[in-house]
Amino acid sequence: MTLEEKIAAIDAATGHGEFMTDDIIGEGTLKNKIICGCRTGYMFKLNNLSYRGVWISTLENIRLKVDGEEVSHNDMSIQLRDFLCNVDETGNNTDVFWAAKDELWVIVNKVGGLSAGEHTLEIEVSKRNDFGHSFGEAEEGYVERALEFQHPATGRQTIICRIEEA
Amino acid sequence: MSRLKHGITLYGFGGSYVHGNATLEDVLRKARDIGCDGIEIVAPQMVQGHPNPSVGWMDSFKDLCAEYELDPVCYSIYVDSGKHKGRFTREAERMTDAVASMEFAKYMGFKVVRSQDALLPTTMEKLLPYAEELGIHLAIELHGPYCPTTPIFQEYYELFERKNSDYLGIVMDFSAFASGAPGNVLAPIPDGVVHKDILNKINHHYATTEIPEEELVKMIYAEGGDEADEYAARKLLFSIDPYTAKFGTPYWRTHPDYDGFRRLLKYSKYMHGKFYYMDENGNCPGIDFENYVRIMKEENYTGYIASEYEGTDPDDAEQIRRHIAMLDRYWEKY
Repeated sequence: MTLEEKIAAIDAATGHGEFMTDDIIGEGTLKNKIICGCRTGYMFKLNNLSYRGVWISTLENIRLKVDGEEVSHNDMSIQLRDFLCNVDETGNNTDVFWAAKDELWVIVNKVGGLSAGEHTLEIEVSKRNDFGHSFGEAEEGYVERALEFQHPATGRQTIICRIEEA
Repeated sequence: MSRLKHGITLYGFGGSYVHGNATLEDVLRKARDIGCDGIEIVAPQMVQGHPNPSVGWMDSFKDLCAEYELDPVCYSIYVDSGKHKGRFTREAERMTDAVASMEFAKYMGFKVVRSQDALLPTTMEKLLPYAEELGIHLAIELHGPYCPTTPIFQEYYELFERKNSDYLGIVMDFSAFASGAPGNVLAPIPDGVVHKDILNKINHHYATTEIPEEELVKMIYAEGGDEADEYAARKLLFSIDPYTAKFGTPYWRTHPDYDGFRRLLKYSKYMHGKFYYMDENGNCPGIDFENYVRIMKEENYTGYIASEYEGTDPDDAEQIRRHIAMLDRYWEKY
């Protein structure tokens, strides 16, 4: 084994350490969004990234490529129960809590949805910690040492998903 | 003869709960089957509707506790400083969250509310009248990498001394008293990827000596190890990064802070007997539970110790059973 292969094996066995799970996309959840027979896009579930739930506002970025093509943020939203917002607006929603068992869907607007068959999804999620050991008063901003809040963790996954019926 | 009061934190079953393999009722049943004097719930993890659970949900939780004959003891909350990008929480936010949580805890029958050091001592002092009114023991968790002598915890200690109240205190988590990585930390790595014999030796040195990490890395290579071993050691064995190096018992690996533990025990009604692995002989390598239990006995500790499992064994119940048995063994020994 090369060094890179060994490191990959260590990480695969012990986690990459960024989030609770390296499996960001819910397996088998990719499907087209069909409203009254109209295909307006596609959607898939995200697995919860924490053992205790996540504030939506801590999600700093979600990047998605489908079959090698970057999805525009203009077309990408998240839905949690009855809450829906564009991915660029998560930071402004400081009172929305994604509980451990809540279903969070990523919804992509795309007329016609995805074709039946296999698709390669590449996702990158960046989020800062919900809590940590750094502390202070709000007016101070984040102190320099508050790395868990200053520097978001980033998790990545590439997965082949299947649309059974377009 | 006095008896040690055991708690079970439902957090120990968090993996199976979060991954959808267990319901709240399932984990309550598990706790009942293991047997304990009280339970702890991590509010954001298992309280439906957190941070504002409905009365209906809280009533159903009380019913479940009654059905399984479980005593709710500790309601664990956080200070979520990551919520607002660029700033910590304001005191008003911390007060609002903490008072509401104490009210929910009271309604459901919990006696202790555990928060975190980011609550700050000045805010905790302002919360004391609410804790007194509700009859709730409001406690701050001392968690690794912090230790009793970390400055913020000295401030908390001064507050406890000054107020000397039954309603303010501390939840000590044994991560703050661990001296090395869990004994089974390398188990998930497939054979042939790293030199486990060398790394186990390094892990032992890390936990039982003050040999600096860079020297331990040199030892890996001297023993015939390679860069993959160094990567694994830095990732899995060495728990101290440059930002926490001045805090925490792991930094003083061979000098667990027994005196600090003893000093704070006076203000403790509940603690997290955090552990990562119990071996088949009923021992917990890496955390000196024996001497801490001895101190608890010497100080006539009457609070709870929760068996807080943070490992990856699918048989979490067996791990917790072993842990409880170990604690009782040490309690009876002294």
